[in-house]
This record gives sequence, C-alpha cells and structure tokens, in this order.
Amino acid sequence: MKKLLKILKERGVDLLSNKELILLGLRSFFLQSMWNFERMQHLGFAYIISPTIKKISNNSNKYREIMLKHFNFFNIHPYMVGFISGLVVAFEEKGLREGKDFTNEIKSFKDTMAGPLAAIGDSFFWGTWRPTIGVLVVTIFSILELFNIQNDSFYILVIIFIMIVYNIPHIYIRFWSVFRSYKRETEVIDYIRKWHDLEIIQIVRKISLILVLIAFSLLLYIELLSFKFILLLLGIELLFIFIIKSNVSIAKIIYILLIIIIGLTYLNLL
Amino acid sequence: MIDSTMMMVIIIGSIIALDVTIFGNFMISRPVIVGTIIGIIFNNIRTGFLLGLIFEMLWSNVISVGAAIPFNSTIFTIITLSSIFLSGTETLSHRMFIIIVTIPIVYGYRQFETIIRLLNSIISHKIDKCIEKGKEISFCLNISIYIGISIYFVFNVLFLLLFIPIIVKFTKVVFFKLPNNIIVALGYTYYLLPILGFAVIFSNLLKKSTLKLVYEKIIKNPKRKGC
Repeated sequence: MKKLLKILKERGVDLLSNKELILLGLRSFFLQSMWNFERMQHLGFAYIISPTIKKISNNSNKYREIMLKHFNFFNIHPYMVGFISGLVVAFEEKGLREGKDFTNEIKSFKDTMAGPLAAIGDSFFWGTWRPTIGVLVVTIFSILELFNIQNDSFYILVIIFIMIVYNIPHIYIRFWSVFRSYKRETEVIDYIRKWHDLEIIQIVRKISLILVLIAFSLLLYIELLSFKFILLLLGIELLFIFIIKSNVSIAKIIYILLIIIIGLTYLNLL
Repeated sequence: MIDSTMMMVIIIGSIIALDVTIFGNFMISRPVIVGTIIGIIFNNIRTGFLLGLIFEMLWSNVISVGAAIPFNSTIFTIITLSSIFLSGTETLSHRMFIIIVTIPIVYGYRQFETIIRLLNSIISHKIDKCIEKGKEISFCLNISIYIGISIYFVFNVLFLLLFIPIIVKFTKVVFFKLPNNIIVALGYTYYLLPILGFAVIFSNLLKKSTLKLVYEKIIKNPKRKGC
C-alpha cells in the first residue's frame, strides 16, 4: 500500500478517493443484471463506471461524451471486471487531466483484455474454486458423520463457513483489481501476464482430489460395507466416470439408471 | 393449496436465485446452501442439507460460460426440496420420484431464461432511445438495472408459484398409485445418486489421460509390471 501511495505521489494527486474506487467495486455486483444476447454486459459495465465518470468530468457534456463510448458489446467474468473498470476510469481521468484522447487505447485494452481475463475467471473460479468448495463440504460432512455429529446447528455452521471461504478470494479480487488497475494503469497487464494461474489451478485441483478421496473413503468406512460390496461400488463408480467423460448428461444417466433398475426389479434380480 | 410457508419459500427462493447471474454471485445460490435454507424453513435441516449436498455434487460440473444458459441447479433444488416437504411423505422413493419429475421442468426453465435474455435485448434498445432523447444517462442506467432485477425476480416467483403446487399435487395423486416394483426401483436409484455425484467430481478432477492409464494398466492389462 505504501508503495502504491508513493507511485501516486510521483504521478500527481489522483482525483478519485478510495471511497469512489470502493463504489466501483460495489457496483460490479450488478454487472450481469441486464445481461442480454446482443451486447451481453454492456449496460452493467456502463452502470459500474457511471458515477465515477460523473465525478471526474464535472462538465455534464463531457460525461455524456465519455459514457456513450461504453455502450458497445462487453463480456467478462463477473469477478474480473475490476481490472477493466479501474483501467477505463484511470485512462478517462488521465485524458481529461492532460487534455488528450485515449479512446483508441481504452477500446484496445477493453477488447483485448476482456477475453483472457474471462478465461482466467472461468477456469479458476467456475471450473476449479467452486467445485473445490463443494468437495470441501462433502469432506466436512463425512467427518461429521464419522464422529456421528448430526446436530442441525453444525450444518448451518458448515454452510456459513464455506460461504466465507469461497467469498474471501471472490471479494478480494473484485476490489483489489479496481485499486490495482486504477493506480498502476497499464502496468497491471504485465502483472496479469506474470500470474501463475495454471499452476495455482493444478495445485487447487490436486488438493480437491485428495479431499474427495478422503471423503469417499470415510463414507465407505462409515457404512461398514463388505469387501465385495466395496468392489461393486468402485466398479459402478468407474462406469459412471467413463459415461460422464463420454459427455452424457447427468439427467440422461439418472433416467437410464432408473429404467435399468425398474427392469431388474421386474425380473426379480433386485 | 398455496399456504404461507410455500409463499415464503417462493419469495426467499426467488431472491436467492438472483445470485446465480443477476446480482452478486456470492455462492448463496449453490444447491447445498439453498437446500439448507429450505431445510430451515421447513424445520428439517438435515434432509435439506443432505439433498442439497447430493445436488451440489451432481451438478458441480455445470458452469456458465459465454452466452450459454446451463441447467439451473438452484431452481431445481428449490422446486425439488419444497415439493418433497410440502407433499407430506419423505421416503427415499418419494424423494426420487419428485427428482425425476422436476428435472424436465428445470430443463424447460432454460427456455424461459432465454426469453428473459431476449427481453433484456429489447429493453437495452429502449435504454439507447432513452439516452438518444437526451435523458440523463445515469437515470437511464439505474432504471435498466432495476428493470433487469425486477423482471428476473417476478419471473422466478411466477415460475415457482406455478410449478411447486403442480408437482406437489401430481406427486400426491400419482406416486401412491405406482406399482410396488417401480417404488422399489425409485428407492434403489436414490441410493445410487451420491455415487453418481462422486463420479461427477472424479470426472471433473481426473484428466482423460489418467483414466486412459487406469483403463490400460488396471482393467485391460492387470498383470503388467508395476500394477
């Protein structure tokens, strides 16, 4: 933080206070409120930057002129929008202060950065972090079952706990990205390039795999199943995995399973 | 048919469903959390938590990327759990019956979600016109966000209000008339859901190459050195 303030002093005082930057982060929660197939999140993005642009352009005509540039197609992962909104505000402010036009630069980084940032967000938050939290709940549940804890208040505590755990990186990235990109401007692009996102994803996935193996083993142990039954379950598990990997939807698997089991009951095999 | 508890579930469920895309994405809309909340409303937290957990596992590989509208596991959990609690009995077969009845309805929900997105496009054009007419941009933007949230909320209320009573009524009428073999089969299928849930998680985490290795070394050629 001290380092950032030092950079700010070197560049001259910024017009925006922390309060306005926090507002940028808070408004990002509404990014997808008007999501549509034509221009996706364009209205949400305009809504995020609107009060900040109003603040930096005291002239209402200038505000209108700037805002009209931001009604084009826009799509990004909702948690990563802070990088773009911070940069847009920083450049618009710089343009007003120095009397220059940064329209091309703004359009360029909006177009080029949104895709990669969306990919990072989708692969980390949707593809890795969210399933990992699901796995964490399963593991906690299996531990509760192991110790025969079936108290309702524990279940409520579990969901509060996982909501906090999930939202720590979520909330952090939403606000940190706004501050970072506003104060460091294009330096943030180099910073993102240096991210080891693939390595982080691999580590989280490995942790997740260990957790799910623990949960699966614990639940088998709790049920005190015979060795033959465990082998049968593992066989079914492998079969399911291969079917899912063949891109068969879960709904289809459930219906097919039900039809097979109905057949087996009519044949008195179950 | 529609009592105060059902109305409470519908209102709370519709607010929570906003978290899926419209506002926040705090994860409050995940099945395990929604399930527990509905469990709290019906004073049966363990069942709510357990079923929510199973649904969480089953639909953990469903992600929303780009313009795709995926299966909405939040709406599925709200309808399934409230129908289970409202229709009285809570046997495993009964739960499974409601699950298989709800799945196609939630697939239908995707079509309605598509209509909302198309409606949003029309509204966004209206907003363009509102700005062209010289109205204050911030005012037009605020209105657009309020409209977006309201449409989604009202739509969810209507959807839940329509389908929860229908499923409850349908279950009460049809389930008890089912042949015994089908009721038994529904129970067995329910037992397999957690195993299927684990399979979804494993298939997310294991790469195809790992599975191929398992297949080649353990299943196809178990006597090979090192296995």
